[in-house]
Amino acid sequence: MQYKSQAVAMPYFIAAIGLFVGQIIFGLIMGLQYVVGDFLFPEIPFNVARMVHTNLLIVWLLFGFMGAAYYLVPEETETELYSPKLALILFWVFLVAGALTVLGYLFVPYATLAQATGNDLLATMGREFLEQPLPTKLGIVVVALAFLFNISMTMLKGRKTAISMVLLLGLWGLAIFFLFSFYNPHNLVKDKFYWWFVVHLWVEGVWELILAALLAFVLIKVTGVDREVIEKWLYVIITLALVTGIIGTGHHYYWIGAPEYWQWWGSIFSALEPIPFFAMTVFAFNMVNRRRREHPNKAAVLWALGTGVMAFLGAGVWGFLHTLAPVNFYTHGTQITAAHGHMAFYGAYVMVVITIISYAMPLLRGRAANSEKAQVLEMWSFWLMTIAMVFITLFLTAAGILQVWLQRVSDTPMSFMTAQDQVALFYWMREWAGVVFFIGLLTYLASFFVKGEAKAVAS
Amino acid sequence: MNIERKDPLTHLMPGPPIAVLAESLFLINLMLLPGLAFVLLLLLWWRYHDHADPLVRNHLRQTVVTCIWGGGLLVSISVAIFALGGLDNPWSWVIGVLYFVLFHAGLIYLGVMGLVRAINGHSWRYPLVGPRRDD
Repeated sequence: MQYKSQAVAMPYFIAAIGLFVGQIIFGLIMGLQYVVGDFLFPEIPFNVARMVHTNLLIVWLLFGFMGAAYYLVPEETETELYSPKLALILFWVFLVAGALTVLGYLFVPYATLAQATGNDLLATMGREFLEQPLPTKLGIVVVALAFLFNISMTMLKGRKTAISMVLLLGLWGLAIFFLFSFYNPHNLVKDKFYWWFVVHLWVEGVWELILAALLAFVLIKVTGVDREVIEKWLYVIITLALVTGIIGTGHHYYWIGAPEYWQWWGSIFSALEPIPFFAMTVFAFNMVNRRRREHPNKAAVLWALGTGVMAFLGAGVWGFLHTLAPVNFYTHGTQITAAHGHMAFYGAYVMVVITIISYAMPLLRGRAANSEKAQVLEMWSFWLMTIAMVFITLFLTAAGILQVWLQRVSDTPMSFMTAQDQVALFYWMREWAGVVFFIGLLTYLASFFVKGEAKAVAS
Repeated sequence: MNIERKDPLTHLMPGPPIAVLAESLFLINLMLLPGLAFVLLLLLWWRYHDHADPLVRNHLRQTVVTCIWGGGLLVSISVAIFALGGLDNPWSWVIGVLYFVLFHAGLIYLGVMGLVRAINGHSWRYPLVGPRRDD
């Protein structure tokens, strides 16, 4: 660790991993509820488990991004963080707000929660992924603005690099697009239209900038390739991401009542969306292939390469699978979407956050890399989680294809619930793959506690 | 023949451009312009297959042979799945779509490896279907 203030990243990383565990537990609960409908009912109904599963994902990734920024920015700007104290205060505010929100979901009926938190003053609740009560949403804005103030002030007083600028652009975009969550028009078409400004322009827009910046930072560190070479790749990737991703929002406008031309715009531009992810794969392998040195942190290198591979597969290939309007006409809202969502989030964002944690945590703990034993365990966790996620995706895709056929293509179409019964076998297999994923996650946790001879920090 | 290569740590693309082009066409054939990119790759091979640089020969030969084998396996097995199972059978679609997507993505990843090797000035052999590199 080159700068003292980088230490504030550690609590963010720890909280991220803790919430990740919570997210997977709720994923397993709802996975079981797919096949054992009354499991944990009425204590944890399916809709609540789903809300907690997806909201925890978003919150822990945000913790990961913020921790990553606090670690990366001082090193890139070659100066201490503007205010480490503010970063720590924000950590506790965000953690307490997040915990209270989840407890609210679990112990208060959603309608009561809405009433108690001022949803009648400004109705923002009830929309997928944006279920948070108004005070939580306001809290997120306050935390995000204070966080951006801290990071921007640090950058203003230090060196400006392409990596830190791209990261900052992504983080500002993240905060700005979240503001659309406060706009909830009565017209359902407009509501969906702007709702995607948050959801799509996050994950297929500004988050990709954050992803590319974090990957570039770690690749510079672990390969020793010239910054100039890596920055050129970074420019190409973010240009491709924005050119394809912004108009690619149209693939959400096919069937919501928006004008028909979106079927063309959405199909063409979102068909190109795999290209930046493809470029990221080439970028990651290219840099590792030409590396100057064998970095002692092999686990971080593995996570970085895995990010490239899995992001392209999950976001790129599985996204393309159902993005063209004539295909999406049949596949919309089926398990094929769930398959894509799982692998894309894991490949792109979960893995990049673990990449930066894997690289930074040993340094934050005073060593260049963990012991061989700890790294072997961490690499086991990589393979367990990644292979499990591949199988989760395959089983959900199989379930989705069958669902499309039985429910929408067949001459004698089945109702939604009858079709669900027919694909139950795939849900069981998905659940078992989920159990393996959870074992992988526990293995990952265990790797933090394995002792052994750690690699010293290079002078 | 001793060919000087650029330093991979400071140059964006130290490998021979024709080898990079061959691997790029292999990937474009899979992702953007199937068929047309293959024809261009064949023309490139026709023009440069006896190039003085062994790396150029290596990448041209690997991409052309893998394109033919990979494309053949991708199309023929997909057709066989639907022909044997029937278009009206949902399981044909489950197996057919999963086979196509996985095999196609697998070829893309192998192409990425080939492209990276070409960019960095290394030789490459596609597993299983690629001809032995020293031919």
